[in-house]
Amino acid sequence: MTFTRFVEAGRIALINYGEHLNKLVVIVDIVDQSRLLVEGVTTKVRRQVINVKRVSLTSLKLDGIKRGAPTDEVAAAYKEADIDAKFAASGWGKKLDRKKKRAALDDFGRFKVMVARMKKSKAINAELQKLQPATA
Amino acid sequence: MGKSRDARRRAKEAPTKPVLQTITKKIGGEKNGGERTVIVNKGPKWYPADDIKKPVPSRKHAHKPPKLRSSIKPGSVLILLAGRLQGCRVIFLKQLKSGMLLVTGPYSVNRIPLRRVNQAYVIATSTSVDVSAVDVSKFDDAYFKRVKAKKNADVMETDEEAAKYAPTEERIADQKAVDQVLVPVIEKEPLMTSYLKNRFTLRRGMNPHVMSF
Repeated sequence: MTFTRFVEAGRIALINYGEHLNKLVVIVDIVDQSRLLVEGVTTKVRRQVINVKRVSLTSLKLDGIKRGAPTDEVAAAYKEADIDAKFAASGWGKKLDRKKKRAALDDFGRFKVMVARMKKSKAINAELQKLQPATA
Repeated sequence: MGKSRDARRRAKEAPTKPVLQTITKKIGGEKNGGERTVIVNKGPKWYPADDIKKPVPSRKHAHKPPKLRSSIKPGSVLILLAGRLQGCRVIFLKQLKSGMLLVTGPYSVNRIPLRRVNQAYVIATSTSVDVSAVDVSKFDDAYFKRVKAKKNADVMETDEEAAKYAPTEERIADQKAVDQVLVPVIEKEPLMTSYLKNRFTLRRGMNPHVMSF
């Protein structure tokens, strides 16, 4: 296996720390080995320098974005590629969405989730039992 | 600026002018006019030179029932946090005069009778049940007052039957009446019955201070 996600201009990344936690940004430029210039188009993250450690790279990338591309070009490419919808449809996006929804649940909601999970695992286990060879 | 505390107190005890009670007395002797109006209660003959201060009535022991937490409304599902029923979910019915909360399981759902709890030992959830049809006018603090067990003459010999608690016929009937109204309402909501039967516990990764209830 080789690497497929690189720190490069146009790469979509997710901020994993601090005020802008879990917000999508576009890498616009690379300042040095540890710092990047990023910008969030729909996430209200202003163009700023951020440490590499504080972003996680996604598999998404904007095509045709050169290093230091201006805001309007980045925004146009971002909307053209429909990045928000693509990310939301990905496994990672769904997981984040689920986490957010679960955190907002009230006590009764959490109970309902628990019941649903029990039901699911019961069904799975029942099927699994059928597949296993009968042992003495 | 406000008046001093003394001045306010004086104003409160507004000096109403004493109405003098008088009676007419017959007086003997020719030149005495026959009768005279006399004050009944003359009062003391002399006044003390210094004012004697009256102690201010104590405000310490006035019972101020606590305000009901804004998140608790009649019908709210509460989580009990202390005691034998720790973690149980109950339905709040009303606040009593003493400030205690009247709650019930209801009994036929999760075996929690009508009882009083302190709102400090309770988590209010946003879930609620319609309790408008439940008649709670009967229940007050006196209803829940404990009946003291009769003391046995022999200290060493405890009367086990007397010490054992059993609900009175009245309480059983009252509980039935409340349950009769409450249970159909609860059963309307899917999963509500099993939710009330289930005890609340903290599990790994659950931080109660960031969770919403």
